[in-house]
Amino acid sequence: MKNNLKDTQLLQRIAKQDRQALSDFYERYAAMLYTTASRILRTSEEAAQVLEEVFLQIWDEAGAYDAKWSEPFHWVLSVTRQKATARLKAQKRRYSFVEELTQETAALAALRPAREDEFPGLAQHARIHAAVESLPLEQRQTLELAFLGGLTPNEIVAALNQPAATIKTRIRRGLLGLRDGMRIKHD
Amino acid sequence: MTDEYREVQASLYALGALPAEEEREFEMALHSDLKLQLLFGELSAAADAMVVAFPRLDPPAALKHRILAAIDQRLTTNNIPRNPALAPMSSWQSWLAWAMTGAFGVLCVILIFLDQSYRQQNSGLIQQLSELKEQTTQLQTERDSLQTQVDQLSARYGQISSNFQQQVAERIDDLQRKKADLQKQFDQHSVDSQTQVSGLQSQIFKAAAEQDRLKQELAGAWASLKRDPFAQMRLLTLKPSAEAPPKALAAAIWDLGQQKGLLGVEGLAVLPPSRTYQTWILDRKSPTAPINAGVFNVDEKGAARIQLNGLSAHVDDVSRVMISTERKGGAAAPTKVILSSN
Repeated sequence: MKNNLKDTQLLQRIAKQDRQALSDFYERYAAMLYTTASRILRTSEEAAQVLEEVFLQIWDEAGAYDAKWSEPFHWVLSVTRQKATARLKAQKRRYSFVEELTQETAALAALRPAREDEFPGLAQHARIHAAVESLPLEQRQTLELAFLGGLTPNEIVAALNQPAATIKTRIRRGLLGLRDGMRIKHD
Repeated sequence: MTDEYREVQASLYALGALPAEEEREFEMALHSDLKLQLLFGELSAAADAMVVAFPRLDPPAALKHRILAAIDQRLTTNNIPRNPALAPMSSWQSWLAWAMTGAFGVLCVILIFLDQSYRQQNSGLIQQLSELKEQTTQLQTERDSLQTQVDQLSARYGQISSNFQQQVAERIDDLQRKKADLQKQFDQHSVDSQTQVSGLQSQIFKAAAEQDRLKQELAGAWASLKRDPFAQMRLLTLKPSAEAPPKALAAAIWDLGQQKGLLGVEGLAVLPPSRTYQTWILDRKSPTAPINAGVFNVDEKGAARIQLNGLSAHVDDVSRVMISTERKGGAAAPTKVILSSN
């Protein structure tokens, strides 16, 4: 049965050791977080381990979550990214950018389209797809290296062998373009 | 600091990639700049949205059970009642217990001092935290207000844009309709004008043909007329003036082709030897220059028949014949006209 509680309400219940609330929160975000961890680590076993660590941390630290600072999804996504990128760095590996994202996305999206309740607050999935896919490849690559690879601007400069100003410009234009694409399409 | 510089910082901060040495400075700017907070919120949401574009993968089915089992174990561990069993103690153990008790007492005193110190620090931190929360709430309220304004402006702009586009579309439709009407009228007028031009041209052709025909007829008539001897003849009667005898009468006939004529007079007075009658002919082309046609005298009955020929000038057409009285031998121009045709 679908749970209509808001994310913040679920986290409040989890903070009170409500097992069912955690189960509902898992149903809502597990696929999204697992996808993110898999994208970063490229192995399903490690992604599953990260996801388990993330949800145990949610169980332990839900009481410390403060809705004034960030949205619940942003919080759990940050935790997931940090854990996954920490594993990458511990293994001295580097984030692998997948250029054929568009084709891969289209193929897999046909198998199982995203559900609205899996990503509340960002209802227009198809439009977000379009906004991401409209980004120039070099901008998307730079954004992913920073956001998912956990690389600093200097590390990205070294990885891509491009001037620092170019990297910063790509990040700025890429994120602003993504924002504008989403906003315009929402309008 | 340019807006572009802040945008770069906000982008890096949203991605979690802002270098540590810049974080503090940016966070201070973020704390006092509502516009920057709004930008950061949007960029952060945009960054989070990137993961939506990834191919969706489902986690292993057993993973959820494993997580819930781990949670169940934690719940069970937390709920186990603590009831340690008591064991007999030896004498040195008893002494150790007393020593530990003493040490515990000293530790408690230290902890009490530390507790007071920490409580004071904690109180200050709680107060700071409270102030920060209050500031945060205020900033969020301001941000919500700004967002509301942005939404209203966006909606208003959308409405204005929609209205303008509608007006432009209607205006374009109207102009296209007018253009079509004008084109239709122009086409109709063009057809009418062409029809009229064709009709006029046809009339012109007919008129030209008629003109040619009339010219031919006229030429034929002139030729026929010239061939008719009577057509070359001019017959004129002369009437007396107040100075002529009342019964005076004259008639003249002039042949244009032969350039000669005949004058007959009756009822004129017999003139003395120093005087004579003189005949004058006026040509239509020179009505002010009478041509001398000769002098004559009448018999005792006042009558005479005079041949008119050998004039000093050619007469194209006769407009008038006059008779005057002159001194013997005639004059260069008539001085006293007593008979004249119309």
